Amino acid sequence: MTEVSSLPIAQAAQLIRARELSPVELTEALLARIAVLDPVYHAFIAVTAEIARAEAKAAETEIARGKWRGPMHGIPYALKDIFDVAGLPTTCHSKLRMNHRATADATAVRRLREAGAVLLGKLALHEFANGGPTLDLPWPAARNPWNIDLHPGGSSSGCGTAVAAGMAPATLGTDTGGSVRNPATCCGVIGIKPTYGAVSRTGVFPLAFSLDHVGPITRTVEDNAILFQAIAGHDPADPTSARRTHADCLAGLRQGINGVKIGVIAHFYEEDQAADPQQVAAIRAAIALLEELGAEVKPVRLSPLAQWMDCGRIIHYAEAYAIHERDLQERPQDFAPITRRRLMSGAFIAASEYVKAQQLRTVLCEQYRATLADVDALVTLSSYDLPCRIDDDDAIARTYERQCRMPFNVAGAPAISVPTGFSREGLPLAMQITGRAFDEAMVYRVAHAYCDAAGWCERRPPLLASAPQPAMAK
Amino acid sequence: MNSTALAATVRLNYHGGMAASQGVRMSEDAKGADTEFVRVLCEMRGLGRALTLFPDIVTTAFARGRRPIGSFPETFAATTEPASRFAADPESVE
Repeated sequence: MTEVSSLPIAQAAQLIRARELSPVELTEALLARIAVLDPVYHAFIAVTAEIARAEAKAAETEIARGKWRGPMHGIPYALKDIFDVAGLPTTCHSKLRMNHRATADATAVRRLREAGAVLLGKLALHEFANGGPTLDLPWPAARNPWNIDLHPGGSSSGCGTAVAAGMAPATLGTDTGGSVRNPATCCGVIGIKPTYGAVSRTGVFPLAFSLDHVGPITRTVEDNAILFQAIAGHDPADPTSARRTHADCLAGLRQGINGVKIGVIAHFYEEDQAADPQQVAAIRAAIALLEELGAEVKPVRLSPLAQWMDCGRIIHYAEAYAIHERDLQERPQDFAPITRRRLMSGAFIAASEYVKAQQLRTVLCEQYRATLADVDALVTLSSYDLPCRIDDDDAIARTYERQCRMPFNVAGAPAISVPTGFSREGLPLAMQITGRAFDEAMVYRVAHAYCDAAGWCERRPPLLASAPQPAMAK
Repeated sequence: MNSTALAATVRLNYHGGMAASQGVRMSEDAKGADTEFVRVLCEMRGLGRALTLFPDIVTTAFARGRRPIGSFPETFAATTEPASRFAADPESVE
């Protein structure tokens, strides 16, 4: 294991720009780390070593000639295998897509290519971003670096695993009901779901059109903002892409939060559902720290969590079914059972129920906007529970219901998961910080102030270098 | 590894003062679903093969899919405009 592989993007970028670190050296260090660790943690579906080496060499040559493109130039990253990369399969971790080949890059991938980033590979996920960890798929499920027998969260499971295990400093996932923030929460790293329309979804296999978001996972808040800035912005090819110039999220990152007004949605975890006491204790301590840092904290109330969850569930099921209907009719046996069950639910939703969900969404979005008129940001829990065993199907199923992430997909608002400490068992705890639409700058500012003061992002999992006998092993 | 014991559940009445769902609340219990109704619905949706191969999964999916929205905010009305073309910030879309 080389130290260079654990450098934050911000620091590596400075060294690369100053030609004190070669992108080739950094890439080789990460490829070596992947070779040792991935047989244990299964974050990757495919390692694109040849592409990585070529892109790293190109970056090195260009920077040596004096052309530095920006903070992602020469920085390695990996993609949830739901993003198209020209010439590579986009498997969606499904047997149904094994023979697929993408003909063009997804817009987010193209932007990272233009920024000079280095693609390390494609990452494991829940089948079609919708199922769960299972043995019924062509590739193994990603494991939690904090405990190999536990679920790393999903659906962007490989993204969380790769970042937490130090196999990639940056990954891109997608989030329809929490699929970036859940692995970030379970793996003790930083994951943001940006505003709906802030990042193009062109070339990303959809799960539910009106809930899908692309989001970065990294080890630090600053790194997350760097990656977000590299991929955000209007894309004419995506009809839902917002026509606006994005605010600079790095400029105000270190401004602190003295005088910032923060609302706490405590009823989500203190009334609406019962949370693990360790999660609650950690978020209370985090809120106290925000106050110590100068924030003006006050409680706020939104509609009960059940209304947000029902709204998101109906929209998710109906839109996802529309995408997969033909395959569910003609080759249902090719889906993993957990995926089949979840996708098929959409076949039985009445049209009027879907319309009512969209009507409810109008009311909930207005409520969210009104609440943010009085405060600059909100905080609430991410997961109610600690990461569960990866072979406990019932517990995995509960992770979809027992979470506070879906409200921000329904509202389309930016929401970031940040670590709030560790349980007695040594497992990551987390909260969310959310904000106004297109105000990622404030969300990052609060997250950076908190994480910088709390220091939880510094902790690394005790990694295993050889394969033990994990749960689900045959 | 399982999580530690959960805090006691706080009882809430979400439904007080809220418009009740117009749907019929059905049990999550797949055994409660009417077998013939599920079969007919599956045939109509082209899912006959799936039902034959995976009857338990399809019946469970039916129960989950038919679960209606449980309650609505007071400001919800049957005439509320749906968010059919969703935008997080409508003012940002030309």
